[in-house]
Amino acid sequence: MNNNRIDDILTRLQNEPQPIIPDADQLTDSIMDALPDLEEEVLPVEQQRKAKVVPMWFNVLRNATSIAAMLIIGVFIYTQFITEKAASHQQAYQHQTYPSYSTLKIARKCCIESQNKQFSYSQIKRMINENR
Amino acid sequence: MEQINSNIITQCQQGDKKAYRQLVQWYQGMVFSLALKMLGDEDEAKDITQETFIRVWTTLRKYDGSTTLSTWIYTIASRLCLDRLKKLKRQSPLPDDESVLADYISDTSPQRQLENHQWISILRLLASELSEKQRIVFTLSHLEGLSSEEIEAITGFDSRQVKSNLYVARQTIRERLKRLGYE
Repeated sequence: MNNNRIDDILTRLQNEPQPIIPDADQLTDSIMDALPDLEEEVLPVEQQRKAKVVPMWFNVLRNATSIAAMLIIGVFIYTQFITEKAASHQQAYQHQTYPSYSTLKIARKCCIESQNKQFSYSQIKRMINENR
Repeated sequence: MEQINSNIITQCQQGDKKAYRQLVQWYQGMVFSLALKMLGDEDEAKDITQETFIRVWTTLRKYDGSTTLSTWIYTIASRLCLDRLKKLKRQSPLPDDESVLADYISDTSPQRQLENHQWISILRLLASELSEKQRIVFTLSHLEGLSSEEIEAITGFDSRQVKSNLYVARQTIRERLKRLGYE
């Protein structure tokens, strides 16, 4: 096989002068006409940066009102949901009546309920005492 | 490639359009050459040349001189070429392309110079089977005469990738020439 011939073809291609642009001046003109104006592009960005600078008191006021709003929402949630739930739990506990025939059964029932409702030991004991 | 005067670059960075015209005239042949060899279409090559110099103009302030300006422009142009290549349909060789190559090989006169349509035919015939990476490395290295370091800077490939892509590209073109009877 004659690899030299193939190498010769590749070398000749390598040594070829660059392709010539037809109407090079016209291409240059079209490039120059299509260029955006840098001054116009840069200035608005700087102006926007300046516009974004706000006084210190405005930032402080903005932060303070945000914190206050969050606190108000927090208090509202607490009063509406958490305290109401606690009150309903308390009521449910107070209205429960247990038959007094077997302390062991009551204690067992309380234990099962405590697993579900998560009563404390002192609460269970108090319930047993109340039903004696 | 001979570099343009650094004063002209500074003037261009300050928004001087007269200086930029000089820069465009200096480098547009280089960009057109790359685009024509990559895309195989004169109109597409002109389009890429225009797009490259618009992008160079808008980003020239970021040019810090760490590479030569020609390498920096080649980087922009090669990325645009690769993007365009993905959108274009892969070109299949035409029957006339073989006769163009045969004429080129048989004509050994020193005055002979390939015209654009001949470049397109020959590269369509030889490089149509190359992948995009192989094509850009082959074009930059073999047809534009750039060094491996320059190709690494332009493409972002490491030296191993440049060597392997160039090797495969050369082998593929050799096989193509063998199939065409040039052995």
